[in-house]
Formats: sequence, structure tokens, C-alpha cells
Amino acid sequence: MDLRRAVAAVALLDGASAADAVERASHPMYTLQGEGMRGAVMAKLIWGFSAVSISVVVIIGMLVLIGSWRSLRTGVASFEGTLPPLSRGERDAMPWIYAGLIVTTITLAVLAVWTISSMVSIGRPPKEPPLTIEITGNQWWWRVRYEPQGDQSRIFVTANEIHIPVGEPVRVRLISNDVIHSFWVPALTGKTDLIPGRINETWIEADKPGVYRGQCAEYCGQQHAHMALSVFADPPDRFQAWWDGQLRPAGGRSYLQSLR
Amino acid sequence: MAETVAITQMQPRALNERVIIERLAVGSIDRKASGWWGMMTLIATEASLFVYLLFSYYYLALENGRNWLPPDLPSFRLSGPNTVLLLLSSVAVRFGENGLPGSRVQLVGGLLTGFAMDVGFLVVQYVEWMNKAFGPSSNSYGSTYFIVTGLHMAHVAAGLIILAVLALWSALGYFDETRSAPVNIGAIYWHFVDVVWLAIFFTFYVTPRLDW
Amino acid sequence: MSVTTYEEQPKVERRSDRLAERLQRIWETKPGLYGWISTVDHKQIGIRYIVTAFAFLVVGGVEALIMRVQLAQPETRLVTPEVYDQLFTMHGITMIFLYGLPILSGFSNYLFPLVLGSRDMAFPRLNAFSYWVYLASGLFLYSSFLTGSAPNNGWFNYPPYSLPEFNPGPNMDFYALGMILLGISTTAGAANFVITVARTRAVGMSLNRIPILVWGTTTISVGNLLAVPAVSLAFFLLWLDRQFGTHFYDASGGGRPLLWQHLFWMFAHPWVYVIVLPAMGMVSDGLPIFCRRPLVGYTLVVLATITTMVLGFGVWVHHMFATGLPYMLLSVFSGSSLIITVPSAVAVFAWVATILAGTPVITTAFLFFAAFVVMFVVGGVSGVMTASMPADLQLHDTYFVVAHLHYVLIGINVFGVLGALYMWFPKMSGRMLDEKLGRWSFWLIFIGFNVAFLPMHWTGLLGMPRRVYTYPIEAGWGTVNLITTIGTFVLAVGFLMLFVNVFVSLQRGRIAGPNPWDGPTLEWATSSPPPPYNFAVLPVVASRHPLWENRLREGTGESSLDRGIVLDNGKEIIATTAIDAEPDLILKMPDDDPSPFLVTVFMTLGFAGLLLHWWWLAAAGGLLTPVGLIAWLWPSAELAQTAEGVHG
Repeated sequence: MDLRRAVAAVALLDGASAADAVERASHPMYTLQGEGMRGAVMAKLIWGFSAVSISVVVIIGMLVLIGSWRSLRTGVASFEGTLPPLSRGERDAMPWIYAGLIVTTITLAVLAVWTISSMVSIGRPPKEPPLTIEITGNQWWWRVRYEPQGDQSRIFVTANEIHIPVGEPVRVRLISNDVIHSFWVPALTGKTDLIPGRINETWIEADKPGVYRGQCAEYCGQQHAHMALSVFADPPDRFQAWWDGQLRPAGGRSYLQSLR
Repeated sequence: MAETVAITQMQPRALNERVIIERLAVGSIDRKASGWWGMMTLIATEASLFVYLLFSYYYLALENGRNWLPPDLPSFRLSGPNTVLLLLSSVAVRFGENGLPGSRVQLVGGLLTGFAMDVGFLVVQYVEWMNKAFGPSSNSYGSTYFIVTGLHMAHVAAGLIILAVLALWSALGYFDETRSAPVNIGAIYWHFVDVVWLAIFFTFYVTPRLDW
Repeated sequence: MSVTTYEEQPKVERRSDRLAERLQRIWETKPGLYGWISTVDHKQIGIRYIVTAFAFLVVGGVEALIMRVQLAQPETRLVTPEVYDQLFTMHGITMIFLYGLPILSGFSNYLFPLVLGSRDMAFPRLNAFSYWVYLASGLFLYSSFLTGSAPNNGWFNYPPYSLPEFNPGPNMDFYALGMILLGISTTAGAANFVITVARTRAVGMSLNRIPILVWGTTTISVGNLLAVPAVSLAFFLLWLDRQFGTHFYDASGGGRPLLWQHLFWMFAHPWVYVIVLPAMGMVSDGLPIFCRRPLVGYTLVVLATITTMVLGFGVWVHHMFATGLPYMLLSVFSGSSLIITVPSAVAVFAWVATILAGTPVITTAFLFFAAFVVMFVVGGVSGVMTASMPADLQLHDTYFVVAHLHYVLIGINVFGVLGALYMWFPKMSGRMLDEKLGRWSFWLIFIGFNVAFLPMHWTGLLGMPRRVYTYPIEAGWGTVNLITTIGTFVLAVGFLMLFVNVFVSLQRGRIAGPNPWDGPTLEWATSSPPPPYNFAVLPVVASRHPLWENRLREGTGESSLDRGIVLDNGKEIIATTAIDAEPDLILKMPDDDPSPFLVTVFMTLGFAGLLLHWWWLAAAGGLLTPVGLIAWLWPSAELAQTAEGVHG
């Protein structure tokens, strides 16, 4: 089933704007627009750093161009075999270095503070997650196990498809069955690796209903390129319905069929 | 068609006539020899190797916890005297070095004594290896124990070759007070191997008995 | 001719033709195959490094072009996933290891004795050895293609995928043993550079008078001595896990996959500075020539070079931000990764200031150097973005990082090297490269490179992961990938033009004099190409820019180039003290010697035996190698290593 049409269909059903639906539909792995708190913090950080970076490149580029351009006007543009005499080196050019050093240090300090504060804000979920999902990475698919808080009877397993309730943080426990993989859903969170012999944890939360694409982000063998996953963020009632459906024996309709 | 490129160039001025160079020593003069400096860089890089090896031990130890250590901790029974033997071999080599001005017998004797103690160290270490209840492929502790001590033994074996060759060259009368660089260089390598052993000994034999 | 005198007093005289002829006979390489195998001439060895490194650059480039064709459109199947995986792995290995440092070693090898006013490296035979082992390791690694089992787990080679359970073929063994072999070459070369700089500079060339290239290569050589053992160990432990079932990296036996990552990155992060700092040094030495003034801020640039290398040892965990390590640790390394920008900024502003305060001359070399500065900054700022841990969790393992690394590696290493090539080619060959072809090649390379890699930042921001052999249509990555592919082909044409320029100019380029660019340092005081003995009389320097000092006001006196130290009692050079470069010792230099080549052959056979599990061959190599080394090191009266009266 074409992922792009699925994404668009679900988004429209949930009242998202057509433009947003198309944007995320045409670039489902887009990192610069977070759909949950974590993704949003990271996106803002990247936008901000990009603005600073582009400015720096433009400034240095201009300085190099200006420096080189002067020679075109003084007539030593093309090398014809003779070099002009040495410039006496009278001009004290050290202030350029000092000024550059100061500006660089201050800028980096600001960026460092922003980095640390972002780390603090996304480190822990805002409240104790009501749901934990345990993802086991395999070559080359995702096994997803749902563990609601305090209710052993409602545990079940799916593959490659994750459903989470909108507006609730969800703890994600990551283990690997074979080699190193990496769990990554750009709209919702950054990457966390699945490493054999180690249990890693992260958390995600979606603000809006929708389907968010993810992909394994650590080379894990020949079909690494095709190890994708989808996160469906459902409004609470639809989420419950889906869960109940999963607990029933096989033979029910597909998820999208159930929406019509 | 080839043509000379026109250049602007000024001739460097002639040297101040008063400069002279005094008499200089020629060739491999102990610590001035290039080989001495070369051995320093070799020691720097081999020391780094052992730093990374011991890092691996400590990393795996901290990751795995106290249960990682074997039930019988490595004992001092063989390793203690063996350490002393290794240190004594360094003393022997140093003694040999001191024989350079004048006594070829002392030089060769010191080197060969060091050689013999070296062999003794390897034999004792081998016996200790045979008595272990685990092997290199039993678990990561076993792997680490055998590979770290094994790499050290390889360096000791290289030292064996060095000492033997130096003893041969000394016996052939190649060296005197001034031209002795190979002996000094070989000796400093040998002392280095000793220091590495102390670090390994501390890591494998002492730290398990500390409270962590 | 055996001479063992304990002391000599060298004469100080003017250069004469008779002296030059005598030195020519003493220093020139013997003819024929014997000479080719046994030469210890640093200039020949340097050129071999450069040619071999460029050959690997081309091979690595072809690997990249194949991948780019596959990635130009979604769901293309030009090559199978297994082949693609081998291509991206070997592309990385080739560029990072078989091109990245060797090209800089080549320039450094060629230039060190010349700019230092000496006649050879401190260890000429070790020099030859480090080249032969490099060549052997490159061939060793590439022979894996003959059996279709080239390394296929990325240049970073993470376990568990590198362990036999998932990768049973010899692919990983080729990589492990090849890298250990290459590490021997790197270490030997590093020791040689450090000791050459410490011991064999011209009289009067105190530490503050050394060219920045020398500072750069020396600094990274110290770095290599301390960092290379980490990767050699990592690969050795991997090889043991694979052959003998040890448990360093597999979790089931108490090992840890992350142990590999720590050991590998503790080496590989310093390594990325190793492959750029000498190039930065070449630009720091070359740019001033084309701006007609000395470098602005020499001392700060030296300090920046050393600081970068030192800090480079303290940032490795930024490659592991996603591995689940404790937050506190990650924030420390995020901080250190931001701080390391500062010394780089010092260097950038020094170059900018030199351009602004000088009179730039637009030669091809200058174009490459100027572009280098801007590309450096682009790579630097994208590095700052990945240094920020939360940002990196989105950018890590995407094409954003691929863009960053190519801006720093091509922008700094390649652009620096190409500028250096245009500048020093006349010195090495006696002919000028064609300036017109040079401009064309520059613009094609510059435009092709930026068309290929600038959009790649966007590709990463659109979420395309690395190391994928294809991608689905729905991901929306098709257009950017097509643009990148087109750029890489333009870049390739630019390189083709560069090589054409080299071949044509070697035949028909304009003859170059000793100093076609009016440069300031000692290499420009020799003929182009220099004679085997470099300087007929060894110069005494009194400033940082001996050939400019009459026209600038610097230094404490006048350097002496026409009249200098005569050392013609066999192959001799002068050793000086480390800081102030006062005369210390006369060193005897070895003649052509086949030992380095033979020891390389023995060692390589030993490694081949380990690879194939032909233990008898491994043992033979293991025994013959020390035998060869003993023969090499046997004390010789000619080298003044033995007591008086001994004929060794």
C-alpha cells in the first residue's frame, strides 16, 4: 500500500491542513518540522544553528572575495610569469585574528548554552509514560511489543508498525536480536541505537494525529536500506479500539479498512 | 617551446665571514644517536598500545561488574617472584651497560644474564597460563587476560632477540665507550618492557583485590 | 670506504662545481632495478607516495561514481546490495587511509629535508620501508576484490556485524590484517617525521623559523604515534574474535560491541585531524607566496595546529551520541566538540587576514587556496551543527554528515593538495603546469564539488540515512540525489583535466627555474628539480623567510645560502639541537639498501599467511622478518656505528 497515500489519507481524516499533509507526505522523513515536543526542540536547534552557519559562511566568503577582487583592479589578476614585489607587510593585520577569535568564542558559547538547555528539556518525558513499547531490532525488521503500565493481560506484538496515543509520552525500550540498529522517526525524535547486550531507552510523544515514517539509521547489513517503520499516532478512542482489535484473534479487517 | 620563466629574485647576501663550526662528534654517540630518539618514539607508541589494552580491561570490568572476575583471583604465588625476576633482569642489563668502558666480559655477561632471566620469566608465565581454569575463548575475562599478558610476552620475546643480538655484537667487539648506541637503545627498550609489566601486574593482580 | 673517526670539523665554504660533482657521485641512486628497489632518496620516495596516493584517489573516485549512478534515482539496481556495500566500504577505506594521509606524507617526505636545509630524513631506510609497507597494505586490501570479498561493513566496521556469525567470509579479515599492516607504515613514517624535525634542521633554524607545513606534519605524527595503536588493537582483537573465538566484542561472551566503538573512534577522530592539518600547513606556507607577504599570525597558527591535535583526542564520543551513553558524558563531549572549533577559527582568520593585508596574485594555486578557506568554513560550521548533541541525534548517520565530511576532507585536504601541487610541481619536475588548463580544472572541480555536496546538506535534512544502496520513491529524495550525481561527474571531469595537465606539462611544460614563484623558504634555493644531495653547502639560516629577508625587516642577521657547511666525507648531514638548532653532531647516512623492501616482502607474506590460515607461511614471515631487521640494523663502520678500527 503506497505510504504516501496512506499518510495523506490519515492526515486528512484527522482534520490536518491539506498543505501540512502534502508537505509531510512528499518528504516523510523531513527533520526540520517536529510533530512532538522532542522533534520540535531538535528542529528549532537545527534551524538556529543553520542560520548562524550560513551567516558565517557568507561573511568569510565575502572577505575572501573582497581580498581577491582587489588584485583584479590593481592589474595583477592573471599570472603572466612575473610576480609583483613583496608588500612590505607594514599593515598590522593581527586585529583580524583577535576579532575573529572573540566573535567565534562568544557565538560558540551561546550555541553551547542552547545545546545544554535543549538536552535538559528533552532528556526526560514530561510525566511518567502510561505506555511502554519494547522494540527488538532484527535483520531487517522491527518487532514491537506493547506493555501498558500495570496490565499484563493486554500485552501483544506487531511488526514494523507502531501505534501510539496522541498527546501521551510513550517510553520506548530498545534491544537488538543480532547486530546494531538505530531507531529513528525524524518527526518525533532523534536516533537511539539498538545494541546487543544493552538495553537503551528513549521516549516519543506526538502532538497531532498522523502517520510518521521512520527508518533504521545504523548500517545493519544488506537490506538496511529497506528497514523502515511507521508510527501511527491515534486519538485516544481510536487507539483503544485498535488495541482491542489487536487482542482479538486474527481475521479482522486491516487498519485503514476499519476507518471507513 | 621551452623558455625560462622570468622571475624577480634577489641574490641572498654572502655569509658573514666570521662563522665557523667547531669540532663535532660523528655518528652514533649513545643518547645523541638518531636511533635513541627512534626508540623513544617506539616506546611512546607501544606504551599507547598498552594503555588501550588496559583501557579495554577496565571498560569490560566496569561494564560487567564484579562477577566478571574469575572465582579464583589471579594469585601472587607465581606472579610475584616472576615480577622480581623481570626487574632483576633489568638490573643485569644495566650492570652490563656499565661494563662498556673497558670490560667486554661485564657487558656480554650482563646481557646474557638478562637474557637468561628473560627466558625464566617466560617459562614461569607459561606455567601460570597452563594452570588457569579458563582459556582465551571461555569468556571476555579469559580473552583479556591471555591477550594482554600474551602481548606482553611477545614484547619480552622481542627483547630476548634484542639481548641475544646485542650480546653477539658485544662479543665481536663492536662497541666501546663512545660508540655504544645499540646497547643503550636495547637497554632502554628492556626497561620499558619492565614498566609495562608493572602496569599489567597492577591491573590484573592487584586491582581485583581492591574494593570496587 | 670505512671511516670511523670520532670527531670532525666541517669546513665552511662557498659552493663550487667540483664539490657539486663529488656530492652527486656520493648521493645519487644506483641505476637499474637494484636502485629502484633500494633507493633511500627522500625525493623519489616522496614522489612515489604522491603518485600512489593519486592512483588510489582515482580508484576511490570510480567507486563513488558507481554509487552515485545507483543513487541518482530511487529503486535503481545497477549493482547488487552486496556489491554496493563493498563499494561504499572500500570508497571510505581508500580515501581515508590509502589517499588521505599518504598524499600528505608524500609532500612532507619530499619537502622536509629541502625546507629544513638538510639532505635527507633522519632515517632514510625507514622512509623507504614506510612507503613499501603502504603499497603492500593497499594491494593487500584491494586483492580482496579478486575474490569478490572486499570489506563490506563500512570503514567504521561495527561489530556484531563484523563477527563471523554475520560475516563469515574473509572480507573482515582482509580489512583487519590490512589495517594492522598499514598501521606499521604510518607509525614508521610518523617516527621519521618527528625525529627529522627534532634533529636534522639547518643550523640557525630555531623552532620559530620552521614552515607551518613542518609544524602540521610533526604535530600529526606525534598524534599518530599515540592514536594508531588504538585501531591496530581494535582490529587485532576483532581478528582474534573471528579466528579463535575470543569474546572482546560479542555480548554473549561478556564482550561489548561498544568496546570496538571506543577503541576505533579514539583513533579515528584524531585521524581526521591527521589528514587535514598538514594540508592546512601547506596552505599556510603557500598562500603567503601568492599574497606577497608573510603569513599573518605565525605563532597563533602554530599554537592552533597543536591545540587542534591535542583537543582532537578529547572528542571521540561525539560519534557515539546515539548509543545510549550517560547524558552527563555526552554533554561533556558535546562541549569539547564545540570548543575544538576555536583553534580552527584562528587559522581561518589568519588566512583571511593574509589575503586582505597582502597583494593577491590570481594563479591556479591561489584559486585552490582561496577556495580552500571557504570550503573549510562550510565544513567547519556543519561540524558545529553535529557537535550539538540534540541536533546530532537528527543529523547523525544521514547525508548531512556525508556533506560535512566531504567539505572537510575534499575542501581541506584535496583543495589544499591541489594548490600545493600547482605550487611545488615546478620544483619536483622542473616544468610549470599549464595555467590555462589549471584554471579550467579549478573551476570544474570547484563547481562540480559544490553542486554535488552543497545540496547534500539538504538531503540529510530531508532524512536520507547513510549507507543505503537505494531508497523508495515516496521518500522524496530523488531530485536532490540526481543533482548530486551530476555534480560528481563534473568533479570527475575536472580531475581528468588536472591529470591531463600533469601529463602534458611533464612533456612540454615551460622550464622552471629554481624559484618561479619567488618563494621565501629554502626549497626555492635549489635547482628544479633539486640534485640528489639537495644543497652543495648546507645553509645557515637567520630568519623565517631566508629568501625574502633582504626585502622584509625580520630576523636577527643574514642567512647564508651561497656559503655554507661542507660535508662530503661520504653521505653526511648535520644534526642540530632541538630548540635553537645549534650544531650538535655529524650524522652518517646510509647508502641504497634493499633491506626495507625485503623486510616488507617478508612481513606481507606473513600477513598473507594469517589471512589464508596457512600457518606455515605466517611462521615463515614471522621468522624472516626479524632476520631481515637484524641484517638491516647490523652495526656498520660506514655509518659510524662501531668502535674505531672495527670493519662491520
